Amino acid sequence: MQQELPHGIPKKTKSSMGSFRRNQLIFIWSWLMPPIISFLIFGAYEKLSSIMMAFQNRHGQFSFENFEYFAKMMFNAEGDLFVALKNTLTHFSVGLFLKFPFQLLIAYLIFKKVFGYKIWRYIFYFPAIISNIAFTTVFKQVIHSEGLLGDIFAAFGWPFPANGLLGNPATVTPTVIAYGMWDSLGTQMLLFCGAMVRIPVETLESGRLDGVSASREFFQLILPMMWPTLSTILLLQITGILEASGALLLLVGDAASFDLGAHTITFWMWSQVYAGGEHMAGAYTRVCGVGLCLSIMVMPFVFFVKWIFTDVLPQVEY
Amino acid sequence: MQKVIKNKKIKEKSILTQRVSVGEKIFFGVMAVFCAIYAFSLAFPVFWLLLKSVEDPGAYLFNRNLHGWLYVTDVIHWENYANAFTRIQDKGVNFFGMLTNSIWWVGIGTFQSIFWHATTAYIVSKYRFIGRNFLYNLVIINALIPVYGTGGAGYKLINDLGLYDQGPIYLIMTTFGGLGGSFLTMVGLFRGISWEYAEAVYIDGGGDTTVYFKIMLPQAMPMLSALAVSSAVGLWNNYNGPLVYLPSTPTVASGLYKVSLTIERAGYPIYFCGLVFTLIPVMICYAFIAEKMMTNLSIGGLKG
Repeated sequence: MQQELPHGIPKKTKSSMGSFRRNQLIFIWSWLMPPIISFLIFGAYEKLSSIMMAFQNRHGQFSFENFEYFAKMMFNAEGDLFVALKNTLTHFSVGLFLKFPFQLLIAYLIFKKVFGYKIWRYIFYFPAIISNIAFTTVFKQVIHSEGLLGDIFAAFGWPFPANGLLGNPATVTPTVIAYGMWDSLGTQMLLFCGAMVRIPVETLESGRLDGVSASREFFQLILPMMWPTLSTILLLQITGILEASGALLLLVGDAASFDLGAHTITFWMWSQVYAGGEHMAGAYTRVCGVGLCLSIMVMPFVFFVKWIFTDVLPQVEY
Repeated sequence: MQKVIKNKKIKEKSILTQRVSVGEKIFFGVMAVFCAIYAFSLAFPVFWLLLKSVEDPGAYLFNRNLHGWLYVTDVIHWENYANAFTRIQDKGVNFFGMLTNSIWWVGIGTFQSIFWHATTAYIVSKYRFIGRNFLYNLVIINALIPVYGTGGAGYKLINDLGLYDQGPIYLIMTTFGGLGGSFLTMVGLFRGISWEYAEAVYIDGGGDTTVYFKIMLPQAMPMLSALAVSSAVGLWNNYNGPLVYLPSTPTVASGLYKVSLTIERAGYPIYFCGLVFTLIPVMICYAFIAEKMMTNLSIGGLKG
């Protein structure tokens, strides 16, 4: 009986098959080698080195000082890390419970061809393609005390924060979050719309013919049937729980974010590495130590959520 | 007798997009207004920047508050755009230098990222070999396991490898990975391409390199182009990478960020010209790929 090589190439002779497969393996591994080397250096080694550096002081000597710093700053209400964690969780919660539903709503409206959807869908994606610097520049001009918002407040006789919304500790985080909401309502639209379009049209049509309302259609047909996409996006969001942040650097600035108590975990880490642009002046081992502690704290939660999503909740296939 | 309706286009509306009840009509009406307001708020910054970039810098200095916002210049100062090339500077690099840096930053970054991701995804999706599933699962596990704080080790690694502030060399050496986020999308893409053409090439005496470069890559090119444009837009707007790792070779994005830290009010119109320059290439790219993006992209569940 004639054997087949991978992908249906008929076997000729033993030696020709051997050379065919050998050439194939040379092709495979010669092209895979650079990405694997890159992964080993910038993925695996970087992560391993990060764990090693967590146990070192800034001079490279073995030390637990990074963990002592973590304990001191994380479990103290005025500690830098405690404030950062509080802000990060605020950003994450708003993202999950407010922004995410709104992103779904936007996608649903486009899917249901709301009036003008052909134009809206292109414009809603602007924040994903236009530079954040351009958007934040205009946003800052709008909310400036001498900008549009300042004038509106003045017209109604309302007091406007002396240093502006981004210069006041009470208003800075809500303002950065509001910008983040405005900036990204449409950015998940493509993924969500893609998932909605994949739902068999007969299912939705028969529902509508049976008198199912739009809200029931959304909650009882569309949401369950787009669950594979939804759960993946949710899982990725939850995996990056401590990466939740806003455009702090562009809106508030490096030092000001810390002075106003608006910094997040990601921003704290970035700032420690960047060190005001001074080369090799950052607290690199401290970032690694804090990162390791946070990873250990978050990992069980992420795996628990993943287990719920993949093993407990029913999977939808069609 | 057959009825002929002339000059009348009959559109059959799907039941899915019909608003059945009064409640639905009101809901979708209100939502249409919401969409219009939101879309206006997103398009407004683009027009505002265009308008203010040609304003007299002196007028911008004094026209504040609502008057300043509504002020439309009667003389268009195109010279602001010429001035942007000399007046916008960071570390001795003028705007023209920043544009040059952005071009290689985007060009090399996009090519490396797309080519290596496509090649890795193609091999994993089309060939059977030891380690294939391991590589696939590695990417998924890497995406799902949260590891924080590697930035410190990453910065030190770049420095130890001698890549810090090394311009294009830094980019070439750090972007030849093919096991990042785009890998899964591209695996899906190559799985959808038929293997029959490859068999014909083998029968004609061609090898795997011919199959990949002459058959598979051209077939995947429409989708790869869309991904490349998307990646290029991301790189064009990325200010963080050049800011941290390439301080002596600022790109347009990182240079404008640095300029924004020290700019005086009178310099804003010229700074806005720089921002408009950042918008032009991305808007052109978006015009080309928008339709494809709106129809192609969807992801399924991840099993890891």
